[in-house]
Amino acid sequence: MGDLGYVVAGYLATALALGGYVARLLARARRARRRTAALAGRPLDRPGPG
Amino acid sequence: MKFAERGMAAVTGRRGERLLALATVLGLGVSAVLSLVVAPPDAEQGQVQRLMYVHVPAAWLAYLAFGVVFVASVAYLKSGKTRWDRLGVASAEVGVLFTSLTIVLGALWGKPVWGTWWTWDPRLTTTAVLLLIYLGYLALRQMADNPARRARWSAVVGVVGFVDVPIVHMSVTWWRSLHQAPTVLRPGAPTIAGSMLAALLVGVVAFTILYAYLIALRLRVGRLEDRVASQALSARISQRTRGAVPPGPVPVPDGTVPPPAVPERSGADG
Repeated sequence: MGDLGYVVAGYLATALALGGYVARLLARARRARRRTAALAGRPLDRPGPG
Repeated sequence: MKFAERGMAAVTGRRGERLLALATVLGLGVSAVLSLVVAPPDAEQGQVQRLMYVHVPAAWLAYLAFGVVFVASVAYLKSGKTRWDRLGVASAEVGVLFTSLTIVLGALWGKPVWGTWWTWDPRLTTTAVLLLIYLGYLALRQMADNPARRARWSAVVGVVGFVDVPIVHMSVTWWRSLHQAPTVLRPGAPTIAGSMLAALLVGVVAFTILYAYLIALRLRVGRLEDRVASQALSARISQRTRGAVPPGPVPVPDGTVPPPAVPERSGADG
């Protein structure tokens, strides 16, 4: 790998790590919002299983 | 502490988060141009020295993140407020990300310059220990099932673990090290050319804004997940009071079982 190859690999690794982390956080926020809405919308006195 | 809490609330609001996202994109863009186009290649190391414009800011961010974990841990142990625990875990997670990046970028730089990906040099070894400490911090949180105990234990690790940060920074001064001595944070003037110093400093500023954005986003995720846990617990208590469900965890509508709610020991939480 030439010198530029190490530089490209380094900047790519940085972009992937940071982009991946942000995407994961946004996905967690979306999932939590969906769960909150689902829980708030569910009637509390609905009979459960069993 | 009230001032810090108000500042945290302002920065982590949705408007603050959007502004931080915009500033992060701008900052990283300017930093990329300065470090890849404007700054000249190093006289001895050539192009590979450009890795320093991300390696050094990532290392700075790791110090900052673990410093924030330390402050949040002390604040949690003093006040018992959940928001400090949330800030501690958010910063530890971001700190682990940046410490890992620092090590990977250092290895990519080390191979062509030192001839090896890794060596048991004092700076590298203490940095690896730093990573393990905060991976342990995050692992500990997965092990403790009682939220208050989890917050207390991790706050203690957050305080004790910070001891390694000054050791990492001073390792190149205290011991014989292959790693170069500080170039900017040293007594006297920095020892690099102006355009290189500008690229480095802009990188540090851009990464610091990125850190603030990641913390704001991670705090929002923490608040939402705590709310889910709290709602699920309320639903379960309500249903059990009416005798509608047998004892046991109640799955939320997407089929997963939420973790227990985090109790607030004192004060209002936002």
